[in-house]
Amino acid sequence: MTPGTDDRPGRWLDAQLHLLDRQVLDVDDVPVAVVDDLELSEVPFDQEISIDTPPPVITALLSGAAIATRIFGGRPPESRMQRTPWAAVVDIGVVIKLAVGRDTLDLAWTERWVRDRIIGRIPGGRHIPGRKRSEHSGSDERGGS
Amino acid sequence: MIITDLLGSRVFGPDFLGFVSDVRFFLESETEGQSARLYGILISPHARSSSLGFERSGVRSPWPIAALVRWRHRGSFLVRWSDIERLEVGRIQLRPGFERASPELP
Amino acid sequence: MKKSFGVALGILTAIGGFVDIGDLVTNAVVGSRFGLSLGWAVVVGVIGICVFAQMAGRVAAVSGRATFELIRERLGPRVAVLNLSASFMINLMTLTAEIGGVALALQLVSSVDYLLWVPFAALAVWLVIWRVKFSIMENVAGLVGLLLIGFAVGLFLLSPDWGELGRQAVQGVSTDTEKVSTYWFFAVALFGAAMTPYEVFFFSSGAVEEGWTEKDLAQSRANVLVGFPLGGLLSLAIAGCAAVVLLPQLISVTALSQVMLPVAMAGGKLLLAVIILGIVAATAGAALETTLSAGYTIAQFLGWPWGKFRPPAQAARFHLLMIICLIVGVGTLLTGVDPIQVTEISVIFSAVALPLTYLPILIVANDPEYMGEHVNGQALNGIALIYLVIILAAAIAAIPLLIITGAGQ
Repeated sequence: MTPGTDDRPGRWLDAQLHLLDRQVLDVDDVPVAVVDDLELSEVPFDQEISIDTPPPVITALLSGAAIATRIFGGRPPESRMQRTPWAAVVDIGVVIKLAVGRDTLDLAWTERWVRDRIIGRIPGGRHIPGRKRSEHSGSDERGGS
Repeated sequence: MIITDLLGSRVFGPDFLGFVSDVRFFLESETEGQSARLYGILISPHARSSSLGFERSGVRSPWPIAALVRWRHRGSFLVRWSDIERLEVGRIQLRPGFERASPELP
Repeated sequence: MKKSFGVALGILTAIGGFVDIGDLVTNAVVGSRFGLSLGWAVVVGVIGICVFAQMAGRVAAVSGRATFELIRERLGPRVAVLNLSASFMINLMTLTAEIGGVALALQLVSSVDYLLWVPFAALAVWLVIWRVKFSIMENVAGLVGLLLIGFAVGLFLLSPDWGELGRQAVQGVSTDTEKVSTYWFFAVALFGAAMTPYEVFFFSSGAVEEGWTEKDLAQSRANVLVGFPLGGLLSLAIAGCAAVVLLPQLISVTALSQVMLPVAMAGGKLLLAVIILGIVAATAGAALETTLSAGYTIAQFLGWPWGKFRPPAQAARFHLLMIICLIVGVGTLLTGVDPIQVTEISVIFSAVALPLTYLPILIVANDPEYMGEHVNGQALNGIALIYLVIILAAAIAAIPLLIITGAGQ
């Protein structure tokens, strides 16, 4: 059998193996989602694909409603998919890292809603547990040491 | 199109060959904003889905589990994009004279 | 703080697994009916949880990934959601039982009705989750929970016939009056309690909370090798006390007060006070462990921000979920259900959750993409595979045994 890859410099990615179900972290290493599905650019469907048709590319990571269809089958309605543009991806490893902050992504809106409407309003909700406000840097460091 | 439209589809060429167990992409470099282009589809004659991440990596341990997964995916192969003739819901038709390539990753 | 008592995470994790309210009673029931003849099930369980918690801790330290992220990534969403549902039910039922357990222990010292203590116990658990630093939480709950060592002290003070206890432990099945199925039901229950999945969810997430890295691998190992054997020891001491005092008199254990009866006989009021304090801390610790595990598992499955190292507002859904779980737990208890019975039913869910939790841990611990040079050795893989077979056998046997024996009645 001929090899299923070639010698070009670059990176080979198998969707299931390297992308689906991996954690997505934003630019501050805060989790924003898990890759539930991938959106590809449009290709001819239900018709013959002419031999010179360029292959599709990944346009976005999908999450949100896509998880339900991964579990139960079917197809998520277009409007319920939360998209993270592929262009925002900077690193693919054990986790997928983005170049942008979570607040610029539409997929974190439920987190923001719960924060602004409920958790942020309970006294103490904006402090790291066990730290006074003055020590509070606001960034994403561990409270362990 | 989304990736789950392809995964698990039945592949014919003209006879039934197997299921799409994964989709391979090529990323020209890892710098920001590079496009990931579809390279081919992986076809597994027996198993409908990829499992546990064993079948294409070099990982061989713990051996009974690795061996079992490899056995489930025996006879897997890759077909390049240019050999795909027609995409339908749950069904993929390959061109006559399509080429089988190795599913292994470098 | 972290370095001053570096094995607190392992101890708290083990206390939640081995001597939570359900196990306190189960261990005494087993001791009063079978003596120490089921001690082997605890030992087998201790070794098993050490093997897998050690892997989960190592994966978390090296890759920064907690266990439920691995489960989702390796098993895919369909199988993972099956595990998530079962694990979540175990967490919810156990946290409900533990809040009841804290309230029961407080009732013993205060003679205020248990139901009145329930909302306060839940509120206290929530306040710790909301405001207290992870390392202080694990140190306090872990250390005070260790007062349950009082059971071992009590066992010595009873000056039992050690030869007889040893004979029970070595002989294994020696029961004329008890049915074989009941014996095996308790064997599976003890093994399942030792290996209950929220221990690895909590331990691996705790490792991330503490910010462990490759440099902390020795600490991870120490946590496992101190914590879980200690948990097993407490479990055996409780069974031993019951075997010495309750078994000869044919007293059957149905309530928490009977669990403490042998200790009261041996060590008087002082030891009893120590034990009660230990029970409050252990059940509260288990409540914290299971409440946080409920949050950790769902947040990791769905990719939400989680952890006590963040302000609650930056892990908003994680905190909201735990608040809802606590409210559901209190609501369930106020209907008057027996908290100890609640934990017995959770055995059913363990049958699903156990294999689907430990398989992905083993696989990722072998994956160089995650682990680099720290992948499993062959000997560890060999032991882990034997344990997967035992776990599978226990999982398959659990539900039929539960039905045949009427939960060990």
